[in-house]
Amino acid sequence: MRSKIAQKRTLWLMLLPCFLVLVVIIIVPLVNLFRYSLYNYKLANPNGMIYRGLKNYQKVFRDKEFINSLSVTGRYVLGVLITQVPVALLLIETLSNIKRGSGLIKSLIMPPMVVPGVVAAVIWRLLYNPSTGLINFFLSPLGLQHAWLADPKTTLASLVMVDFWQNTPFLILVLLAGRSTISDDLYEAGRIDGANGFQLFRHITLPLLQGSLMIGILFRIIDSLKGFAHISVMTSGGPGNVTTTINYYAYKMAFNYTDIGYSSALGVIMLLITVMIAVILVKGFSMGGSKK
Amino acid sequence: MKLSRIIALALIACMLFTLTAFADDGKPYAGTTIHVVLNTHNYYNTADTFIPEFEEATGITVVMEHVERVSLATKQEMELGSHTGAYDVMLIDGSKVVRYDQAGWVEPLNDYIANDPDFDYSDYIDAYADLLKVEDRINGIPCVGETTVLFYRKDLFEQAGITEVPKTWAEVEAAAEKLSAIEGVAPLGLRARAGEGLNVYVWASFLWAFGGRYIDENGNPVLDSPEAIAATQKFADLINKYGPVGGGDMTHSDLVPYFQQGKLAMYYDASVWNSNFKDTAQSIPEVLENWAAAPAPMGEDGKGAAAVAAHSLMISKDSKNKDAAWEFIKWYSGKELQTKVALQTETFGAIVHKSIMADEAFEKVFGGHGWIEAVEESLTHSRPDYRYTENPDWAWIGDRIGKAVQDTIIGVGTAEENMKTMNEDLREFLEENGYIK
Repeated sequence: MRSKIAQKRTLWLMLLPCFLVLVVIIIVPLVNLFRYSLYNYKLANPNGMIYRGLKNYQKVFRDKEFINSLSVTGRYVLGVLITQVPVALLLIETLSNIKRGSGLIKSLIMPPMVVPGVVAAVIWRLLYNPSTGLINFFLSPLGLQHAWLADPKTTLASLVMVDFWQNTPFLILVLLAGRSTISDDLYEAGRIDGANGFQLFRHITLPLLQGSLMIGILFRIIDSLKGFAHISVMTSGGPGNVTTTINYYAYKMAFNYTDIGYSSALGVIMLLITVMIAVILVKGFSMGGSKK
Repeated sequence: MKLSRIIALALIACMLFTLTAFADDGKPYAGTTIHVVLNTHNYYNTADTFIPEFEEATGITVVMEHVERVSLATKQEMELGSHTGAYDVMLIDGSKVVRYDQAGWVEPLNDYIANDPDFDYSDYIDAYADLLKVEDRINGIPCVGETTVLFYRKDLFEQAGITEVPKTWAEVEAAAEKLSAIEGVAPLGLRARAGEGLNVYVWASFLWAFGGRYIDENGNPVLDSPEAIAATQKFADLINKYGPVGGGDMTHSDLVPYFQQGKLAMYYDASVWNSNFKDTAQSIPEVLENWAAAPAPMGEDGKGAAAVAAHSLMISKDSKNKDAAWEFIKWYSGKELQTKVALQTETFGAIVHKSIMADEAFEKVFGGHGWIEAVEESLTHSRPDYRYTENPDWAWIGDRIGKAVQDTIIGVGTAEENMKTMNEDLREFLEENGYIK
């Protein structure tokens, strides 16, 4: 029998390759992100990196474009949650109550999730085309045709719609998995007590779904914060800056203007915002759970 | 010195001379591989088919890559900024030349030109070649040149009762008003989408036509002047009143197909689209027969300017095969290849050589439709400071201007509000980056 110390050492040795990979892929870029954010670092500047301390961050908070991107991101994420969560909940309720054919329906819902974001964006861009797109084609007899992507009042909503098409299936998957762990006995007991469908949902499904709901919402928030393919292909952050999220703004600063320092500061701020949201969400759900 | 010594030295000198003949003979760069990255264009599609000939003649292997222009700008900055040296020949143009020059990314070509007796630099159209000069450094050789012209449909002009081709923007507006009576056709197409190489490229014609400019003598931005505001207002009005539905976010990739499908009566944009409109596979018959080009419209009192731009070839400073790269640049932008491509495709007319413009064979293929005359006339009104590209941070500045213009078009703020705010932002930016005190 090997000593505990020898066992521990084997354990560490076996974990070492994994640690190395993690360090290279995650730690090094992260450290560099923080490092570059403290410098005036523009690729086109032959003078290289110039230390600026926290000046980049001061600039960010005075930047009108950044404030706008905060607002756009907030509205985008809110739009995504408001459209996707209720519909997903409704659909899993319906799917759970259909005995036959639910498997077929589930497999029919999945394809949008599998299509690459860029492909979906290209197709939807064609659909939205004001004169040759299918959407306006079907709406024109009703006189409802519109320049969906070009009109700043409807651009963001049009993007939220594409995200809805593409990512609600994911939410459905996550929630279905959680729903399936809820024992049928609970529902039977509820029905015997005279509860109707809505009451069953509110008092049995919803509380017991908290775990999957939290995970689903968290993933949707993180994904929509990271959203890039749709925005880049369909609107390039426009018209104007109506659909420039923080992520897209950081991309523009990094890749269009090669201002590495400033875009790193934006990246750090995005990271902090995401972590904050995740912490609040987890706390919110676990508190709600323990209230019972 | 003894005579025999002098003769011996003279003989050695002669023998040394013959060694140079060895260098010129055959293929001095045989076995070298060069990497080229350029944007996408009709010219390259055909020119690339002749690369095997070049490889055969010189022994140089060419690895060619094409990336869409806006993405290419990003890719190139990443490569050049990190000094990867992955590419020997890259794309450069007037909007990047000062930036690349200041960053030390580009190899000046003055010595290559001076030491190459076969190379006729003076045959390149001056308006294009001058774009690549920074102080006395020649940073690139033009390859595909363009200016802006007004494309229009002769048959639709007839139908609307327009007898004279518009020469000023006021006449364009009057023509558009007449054309608006025709169903299913938008009278005028102009780029609206924000971008230094998108709407700004066309809007600048209005800026100059209305008597506005970018900066004053001290380098302060003056885009909040009444002239600049009026130019932007007119630009937005024309797009909103006479442009296609949803035109508020359109750019050339949307508008060129519209013209090809017969949905636009007039289109003011780069002269290179003649090749698209001549393309039998993409343009409807009415367009093929009736498209025409007129010189860029001007403003009142002779004010106004046409754009000028040239996709040009540069040698990157980090290249390890500069001489082979120079051979490629000479050939790829050279008169022989351009003539071949122009006459073979019958659609590529954006040549950069004066001698080809005057060539009879060229005129036979590209004449008619008024295109050659329109290009020549527009070039006389072009100016290298058409956009404020002398500033290395032009990309940011131009994009910011484009946003103010597009905001006005889509109704986010008035022209006055947007131009004033934008001008303030420009002043702050220029001060922060040390361009003005």
